[in-house]
Amino acid sequence: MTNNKTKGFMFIITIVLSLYLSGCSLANFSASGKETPITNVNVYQGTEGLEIEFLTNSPPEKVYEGENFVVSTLLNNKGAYPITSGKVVLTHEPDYFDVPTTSSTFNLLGKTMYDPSEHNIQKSFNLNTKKLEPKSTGHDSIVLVTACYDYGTKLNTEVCIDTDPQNIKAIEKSCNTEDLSFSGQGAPIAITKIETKMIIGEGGKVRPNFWIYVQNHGDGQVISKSSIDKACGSASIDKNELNGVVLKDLKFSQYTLADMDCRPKPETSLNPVLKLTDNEQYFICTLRDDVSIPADTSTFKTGLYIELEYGYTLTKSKEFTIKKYNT
Amino acid sequence: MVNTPQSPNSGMTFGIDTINNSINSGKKVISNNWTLLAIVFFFHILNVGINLTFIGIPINFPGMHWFNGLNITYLWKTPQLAGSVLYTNTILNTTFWVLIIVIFVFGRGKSWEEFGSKVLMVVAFVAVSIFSGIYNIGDIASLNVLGTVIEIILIIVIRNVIFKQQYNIVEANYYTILIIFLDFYLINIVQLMFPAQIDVINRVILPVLVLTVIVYMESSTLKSWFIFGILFFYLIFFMTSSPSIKANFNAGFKGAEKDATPLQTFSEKVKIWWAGTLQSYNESKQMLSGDYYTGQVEQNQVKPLGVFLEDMKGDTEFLQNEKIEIWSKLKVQSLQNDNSPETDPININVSCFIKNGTGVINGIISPKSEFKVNSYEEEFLTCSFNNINLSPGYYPVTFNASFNFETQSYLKTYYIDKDKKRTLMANNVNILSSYGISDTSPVAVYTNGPIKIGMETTPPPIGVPSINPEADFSSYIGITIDKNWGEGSLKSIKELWIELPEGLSFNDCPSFENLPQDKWDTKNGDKSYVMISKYQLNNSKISTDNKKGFTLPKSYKCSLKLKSRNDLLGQTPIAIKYFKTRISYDYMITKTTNINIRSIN
Repeated sequence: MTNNKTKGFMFIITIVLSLYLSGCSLANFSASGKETPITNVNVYQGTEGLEIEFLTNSPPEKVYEGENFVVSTLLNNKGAYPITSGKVVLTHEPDYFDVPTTSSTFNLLGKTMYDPSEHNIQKSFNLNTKKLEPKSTGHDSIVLVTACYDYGTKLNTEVCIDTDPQNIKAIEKSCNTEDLSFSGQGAPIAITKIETKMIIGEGGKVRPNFWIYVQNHGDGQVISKSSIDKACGSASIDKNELNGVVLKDLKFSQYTLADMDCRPKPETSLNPVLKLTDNEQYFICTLRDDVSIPADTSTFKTGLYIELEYGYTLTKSKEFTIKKYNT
Repeated sequence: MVNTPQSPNSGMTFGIDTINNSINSGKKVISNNWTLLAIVFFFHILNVGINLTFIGIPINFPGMHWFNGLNITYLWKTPQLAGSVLYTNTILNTTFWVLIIVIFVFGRGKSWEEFGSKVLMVVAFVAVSIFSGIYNIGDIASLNVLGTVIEIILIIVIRNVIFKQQYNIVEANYYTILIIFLDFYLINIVQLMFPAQIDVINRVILPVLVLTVIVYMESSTLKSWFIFGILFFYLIFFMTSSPSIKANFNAGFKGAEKDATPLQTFSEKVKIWWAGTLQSYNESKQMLSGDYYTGQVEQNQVKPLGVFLEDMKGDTEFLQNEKIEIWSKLKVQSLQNDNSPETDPININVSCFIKNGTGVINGIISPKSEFKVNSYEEEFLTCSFNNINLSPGYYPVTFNASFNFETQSYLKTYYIDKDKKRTLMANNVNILSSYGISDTSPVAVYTNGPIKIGMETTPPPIGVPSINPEADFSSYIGITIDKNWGEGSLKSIKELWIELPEGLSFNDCPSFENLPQDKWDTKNGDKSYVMISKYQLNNSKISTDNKKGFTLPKSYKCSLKLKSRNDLLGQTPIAIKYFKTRISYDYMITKTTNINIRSIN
């Protein structure tokens, strides 16, 4: 009997300990039942930005002449950047349709640490089918939905600032400079690689030099943020407005973009602008000489924050058929 | 090689070794014998009979008898019957034995093999005669088998002039047997091998005797060119790959009348083939000069539209002064459109006639000769000729159906800002693909019917300048009108309209003039506020071309001018626009069959 009592007591203790040890994960259950701890949410990953999707049967595969129907699309922001000035335009065949409204604006929040869900909005266009030519029995048609919007890419990482690149000092370094690779930051324009070099200046002062590689991983076209309306309209776009990615911000340690000498930087621009020819290029940013890191500073690891800004345009199409009645 | 006299038993072989030796012996030629070729060719044509009207020569050479060889399946499907017939008409036939005795007495030759080969040759001649229907001497007088007799005579001539010159008598006899077999059975064997071409494989396409003479002619440049021409003809005839000719062949096969004689069917085919060849030639000529604009028929239209004459039937033989009646089915298929009052009905006028030399005798169409059709009609028509005095012979009877029709065509294209286009292209962007457009090289689409309309413009996307748009815009539209059907002919064009995309107009195009606004379609509401440019072919040009007769294909090309950039591009990054063309015309289809007028006596 004594043994039974002991076993029972041990069993109860085991249950209590199990509950206690699992208490941390239990306490982290969110209202939706997700098990991921909130501190591990990383919304700055992947290469998706805005996605355009036609709703089922909208437009239908076949429409009839003289009929009204709706083209409905779902604009889904799968990335981490908010869209504050988005425009969506419907391109159709005016010889076959009357469309009262062909454009609309939209805003969409991006994913955040506190709200990692995708935000979306539905945009619909009403179309009236005109009559077909008398001898025609049908016509294959197409509609294009083009979205033009502002977007950005943010990267938070750590970088090693090696103040003794030539290994002169006898002190052991806390870190070593190395190249960093990334797969995406929750946006179609991705920072794929950062190469870090240290340039020795006068008196042994160190000027970190970053080569920031940028690539378009999305299906659309990069445009300048100021050209969003032009991209979604019939106005001209010149070469300076296409494929331009702006380096909006760069920070590490106590230094900011204002302390950096970054290229390429057009004369007419306050910020560096990168032209993504063949969809991949790089910024070269070097700490200015007048603010270079003193030689006696120890090697240290610090956070590196980079923010890119650009406009983006994406088009999706849907084909369908206009039929004549009784055919 | 000459055989020495041998005993009958050893000589009664098929001479396989002899034949093999002949093939291996070297070049066998005769002296250049174009005269023999001409004679054989003439009698071959005489035997076949040719209707030259299909190539524009108004001669109907009826021929003695249409003879297309014998059916070899008769021999193996009914061997007993075939054997019995042969046995009866040789072993049991007095005439046969008389021939054998005559040969034995006067021409048995130097060996039993020679005699045996002659006997076999006679048996072969008798066999083909019997299977052709010559059962006695009196049958020769019948026109039904006169062709067989002519063939036999020609074969004998070839044996004596060619084979006996080239080979010894035994070999010559065996070659003669071979030629008899090929001349009488090859057509049927080839027809069995190519059943799809059954209507066009006949003695005109495979003239065995003519080819035999050519093979044995002396080699010369002329002979080589002659053989090349024949091979080229075969190549074109059987292996043509032109879509028009293929379509015409199919149209020809579809239109083959079940009761038509092979000559009628063949002449129809050759007529269609020739028309298709000419059409392809004209298309190619214009394509090479850059003035032929293509298109494709609207895919949604699965049923053929237009007016058709089908199932032309009737007796093919009539006595003099007998009432002649030929039937045909008139079928009309249009698109019913009750909601479109502007759709004209199809007015059809049917007539028929017999061509008598250089004149024609008009027939009476019943129940009626004029029709007005909106959607679908099927009518059985009779063409009759009463109390017409025609001499015995072959005469073509023709049904004509004239009707008005309309073909529409549209060409899609894309417009984009010129600087945007330049910028995207400089960045190696496939512009149309980047906008999700899969139809990157649109072709003109025309509605089904006898005439097709092809169109072409500047390759899309077409750049529209923003600075100095009127001065810097450059584009064109080309239109080609061509026959879509292999048969029939375009009689006249009544109207040719073209509608340009909003914002464009013609830039000095004398062939076209502005279409008066009261003629615009109102089906899409009042468009007076929209700057659409509609043009019609000048009336003076239409009447001049109609008088001259339309030679198709016919092309027009005009440069375009930008009137309004905003109207053309709209407010979207890329604009999808259409050129639309409509042509109203009169078309005539013809169907011909041959009848034979026989003497009452």
